Amino acid sequence: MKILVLSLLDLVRRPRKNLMLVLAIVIAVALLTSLSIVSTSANTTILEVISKTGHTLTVRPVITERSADDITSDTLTTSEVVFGKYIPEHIIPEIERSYDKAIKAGWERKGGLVARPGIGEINIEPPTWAPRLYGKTSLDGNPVIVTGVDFYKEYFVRFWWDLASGEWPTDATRIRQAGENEAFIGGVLSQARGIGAGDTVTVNGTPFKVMGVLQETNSADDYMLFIPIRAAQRMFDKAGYVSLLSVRAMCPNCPVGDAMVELNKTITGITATSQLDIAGVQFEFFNMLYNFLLAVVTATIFVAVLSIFNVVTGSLYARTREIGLLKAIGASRCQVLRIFLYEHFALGFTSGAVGYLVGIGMAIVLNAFLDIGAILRVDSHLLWRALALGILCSVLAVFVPALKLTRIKITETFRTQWET
Amino acid sequence: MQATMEKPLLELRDVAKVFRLASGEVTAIENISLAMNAGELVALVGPSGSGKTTLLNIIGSLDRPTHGDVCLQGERIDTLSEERLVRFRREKFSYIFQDARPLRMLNVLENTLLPFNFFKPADRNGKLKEEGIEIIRSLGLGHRLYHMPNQLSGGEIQRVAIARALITRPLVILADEPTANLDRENRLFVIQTFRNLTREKGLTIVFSTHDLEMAGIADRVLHLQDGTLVKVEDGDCCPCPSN
Ligand SMILES: Nc1ncnc2c1ncn2[C@@H]1O[C@H](COP(=O)(O)OP(=O)(O)OP(=O)(O)O)[C@@H](O)[C@H]1O
Ligand SMILES: [Mg+2]
Repeated sequence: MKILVLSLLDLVRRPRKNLMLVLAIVIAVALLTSLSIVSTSANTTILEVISKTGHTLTVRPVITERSADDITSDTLTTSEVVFGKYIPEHIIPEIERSYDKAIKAGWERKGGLVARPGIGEINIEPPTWAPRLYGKTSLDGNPVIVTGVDFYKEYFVRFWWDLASGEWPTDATRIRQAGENEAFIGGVLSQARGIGAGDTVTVNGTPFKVMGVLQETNSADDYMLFIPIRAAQRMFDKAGYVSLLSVRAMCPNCPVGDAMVELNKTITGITATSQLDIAGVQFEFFNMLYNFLLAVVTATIFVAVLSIFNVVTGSLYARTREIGLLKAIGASRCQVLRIFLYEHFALGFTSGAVGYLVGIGMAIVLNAFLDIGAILRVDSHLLWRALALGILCSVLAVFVPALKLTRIKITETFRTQWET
Repeated sequence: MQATMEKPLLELRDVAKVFRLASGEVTAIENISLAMNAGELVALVGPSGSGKTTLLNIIGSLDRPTHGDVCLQGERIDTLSEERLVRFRREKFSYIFQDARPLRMLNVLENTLLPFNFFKPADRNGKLKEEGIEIIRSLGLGHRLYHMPNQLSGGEIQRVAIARALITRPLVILADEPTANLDRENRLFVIQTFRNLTREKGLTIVFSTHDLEMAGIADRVLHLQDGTLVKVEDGDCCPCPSN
């Protein structure tokens, strides 16, 4: 107990002596802590997004070898956009039923919700199906893709959509179906044709008021003019037909793959495809970034720890005479060792705690400045980790040189001119 | 100072210390035999490198001789295990070093009581602090009890070292050039204090010095040269030529 007091007195009365050590540990712990907080928070946030959005499944008309052969100027097909082939609306209920059945079956086979950390209980909400009708026409003499959509459903499925300018048609609380003569325009098309929010465009004789310009998403959407689907069906004389159906699975780890297989098997004339949705990609990307940063930080900390070892060894050698004195007045080697261990335990503990707090601060700043937008969550195990790391660095740094120095004979400690 | 009937407190018989270095062997001291009685003040003098520090270390069990025996109260101490030696040093010896340097984080009183952070003498209950204050007062440092070492003069620092050496009530105090960095007034204070302690408390004190005036205050002066004892004289009659 007395030895502990001796150690603490040394720290309290000469605090500047260990400034370098404390600083190094604080920085290291703060870096790791903030990185952990931001990444786990961001991941949890993304996972929550995934849990809300799930995967997206799209249903297109089948393009057979044969139909690909008779592609005319009217049936141009890209991987995303199919022209000249349609799904009749009357089979949509059948598609929905088939989908629901497959999801439910897959869900039960998996044993219900596959829990992901940080995500609470989830009820499966009914899926939202968004139909599209693609048509080609010209606008002021130039070809343009006109896409009929149900704005409310479309916005729900393509939750990553955002407006560069203009406003969504909303009633009090939510996006509503756009008015008969309201349109939205893809970012690239808007630029290319010089059409902005508020302008009026005339398509096949029908005037549409452009309500907003979509931000670019690097997809075919950037090149399209969006009008209400009923207007498009009338314009292209395709009443009762759609070109594409998208559905957002409303559960995390939804068995979307099962639904895809089921749809392709049971319903003729369509192709169902499933992609990991945008949030999933984001999740992967963020994990990659996190691992990279973690590697960088770990390497930096490794170098820092090595220099801590040097600093501590140096300052301990400066105390060689003190060690000699303590042993001469009756301290055993073990007691001297304990002085240094207690001292560095306290140092590591304090540095770890301070580093933890600084790390939380850094996480808040990082989150704000890098616009990560995660809801920050601080797990209590991070505190234990910070303390453990601080104590480990500090104690390890002193242990090896202390072991060596306390072994030196008393007479030697006074003979040599140790640096001070 | 003639042969006393009682057994000597400390006895060295034919002691030698040889350092084995990569570059060869260095004989620091050899053929040293001497005896010291309780209450004696002994000075070690000799040119630099003559072996004063080495001899003090061996007397004080900080180092082991490579040849010969060292006995304290009739018990050999040069063959004790390191563990026993730690206990031995706690109970029987105190050391004062040239570069005394009390611990920087402790004040005068705490530095004086420092040894009791590591062991408690069995036969002394409580009152340690009062005793420490008493010792510090007796050394003229009563007004500096709670000062930190960096607020003290060299002479005051050396008095702290003496106080710390006394608090454990040792049999023997070993002081290697305790006056080297002090002015004459403080040198005299230290050695006079030693002298009083040996006279009044029956302590045995051995100190080394380059200052013959200080050595002259001792009961006995041991002259070392090239590691051997070349002359032993009675300090009290130093000014007079001896036969
Ligand atoms: N640990 C050691 N290793 C090698 N040689 C040593 C060691 N300690 C002392 N010596 C040698 O032993 C001799 C005596 O040294 P010692 O320190 O005892 O002299 P001293 O009389 O105390 O000198 P000074 O007055 O300068 O303090 C010297 O030649 C010294 O080089
Ligand atoms: Mg010496």
